[in-house]
Amino acid sequence: MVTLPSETKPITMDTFLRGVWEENPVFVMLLGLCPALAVTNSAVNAIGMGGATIFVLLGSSALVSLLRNLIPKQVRIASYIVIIATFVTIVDYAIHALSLELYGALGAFIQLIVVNCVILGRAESFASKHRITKSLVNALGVGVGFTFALLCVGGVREILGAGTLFGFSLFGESFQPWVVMVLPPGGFLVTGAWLLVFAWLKERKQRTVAQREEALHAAG
Amino acid sequence: MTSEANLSVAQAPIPPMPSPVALIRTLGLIAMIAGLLVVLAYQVTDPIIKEKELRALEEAVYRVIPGVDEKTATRVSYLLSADDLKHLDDESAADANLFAVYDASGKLVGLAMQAAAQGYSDLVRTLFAYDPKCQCINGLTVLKSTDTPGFGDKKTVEGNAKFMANFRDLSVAVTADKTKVAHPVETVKHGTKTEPWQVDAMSGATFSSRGIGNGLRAATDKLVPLIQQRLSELESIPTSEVNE
Repeated sequence: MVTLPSETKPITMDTFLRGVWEENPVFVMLLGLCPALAVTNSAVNAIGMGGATIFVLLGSSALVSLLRNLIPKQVRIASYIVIIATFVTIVDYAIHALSLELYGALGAFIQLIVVNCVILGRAESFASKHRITKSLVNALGVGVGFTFALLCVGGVREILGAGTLFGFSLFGESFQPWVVMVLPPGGFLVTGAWLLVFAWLKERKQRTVAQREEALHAAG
Repeated sequence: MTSEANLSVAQAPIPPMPSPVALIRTLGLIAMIAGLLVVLAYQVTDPIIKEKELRALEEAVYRVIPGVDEKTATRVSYLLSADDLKHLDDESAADANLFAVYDASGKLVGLAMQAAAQGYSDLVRTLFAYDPKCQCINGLTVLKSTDTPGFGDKKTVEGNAKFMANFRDLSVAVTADKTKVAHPVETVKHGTKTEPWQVDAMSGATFSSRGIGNGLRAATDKLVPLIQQRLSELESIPTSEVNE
């Protein structure tokens, strides 16, 4: 068995948190935007899609990591796609069995998890080079980050577009819903707004670091 | 790229190409693991999915037919065609195009059918109740609609009391020879309904209203004459259901 240098690095909190915040798949890496826009018209749908993606990420990362030394480079993408498609089929059956309503709401987007580049990206860039535990921790972080992003978009869209959150009414009968928010344009508007917030946070952090360095130079 | 980098790329050892047999063996192994996992998941979830779908259908049938006592009622699924009235068991209930509900004494309480037609964004699927005595539609529920939320979605349509009133005593009477519906269901512009077979469209959701109306029209044109021709067979519960 070949041991890559990256395999020997220990698992740290950063292995998990990197995917949640610094390398958030939706808000930072702009990956998996198709489900992020399409199924986030309510918080429940966002959680459902996020949960399904976490399951597929964990399952495929575990299997890819376990088989990493068996899979030749030449057939790796075909192998990863078969592995990912397997877990997507399993989660498709599972959601259908758990809730017909959620299955109806998520529709074809469950099957489309197969082509979500977040998952293939994890398999290719992480699970195929690391041991199973580390791959699982990293996959969980990315999955949680993806779910967090979907929830941010879905929550705002549901609050503005239906006046509810997780189905519970927030503003009473007099609230006039902003229907466009639960329609496709609302997905673009809210995702764009969140991207602005994240870009602003990043810029503010960079500015603070620069100011601190300047202050250090001045003091030195 | 610099010349040194080019040199290092050129000198990097090229990994040996695995034999085609090894590649096929790997793909075969992965396909086998995938197949086993998928079959296992199917075996576990399929009975649960079928059971849930059947319960959901039963609930919808009981909900849409007025005056059903769910505790004592029995639902029977049929596949009705011009040549035959086939009684279906629960396993094949998904193929049914007619559902009958009988009371504790085995007497027909009402009939329900599914309808589907193009709405604004996709097919609008509905389940409606048909009363063979008044030869009218007397209940409707939306099974699936992906039309615009706030205009043509299930919640908005079912919450629109004025529109839902269309489906109380909506006439689908057949001609004297029972070969066709005398006046097929017709969707008219909001506020212009004058006849008992007309559906008064929702204001602002004309396409969704037409989707529902057209679905009812297609289903009733096909099935209502056949139901009237075979009404004597449908009026009492099939003996196989009584024995069960």
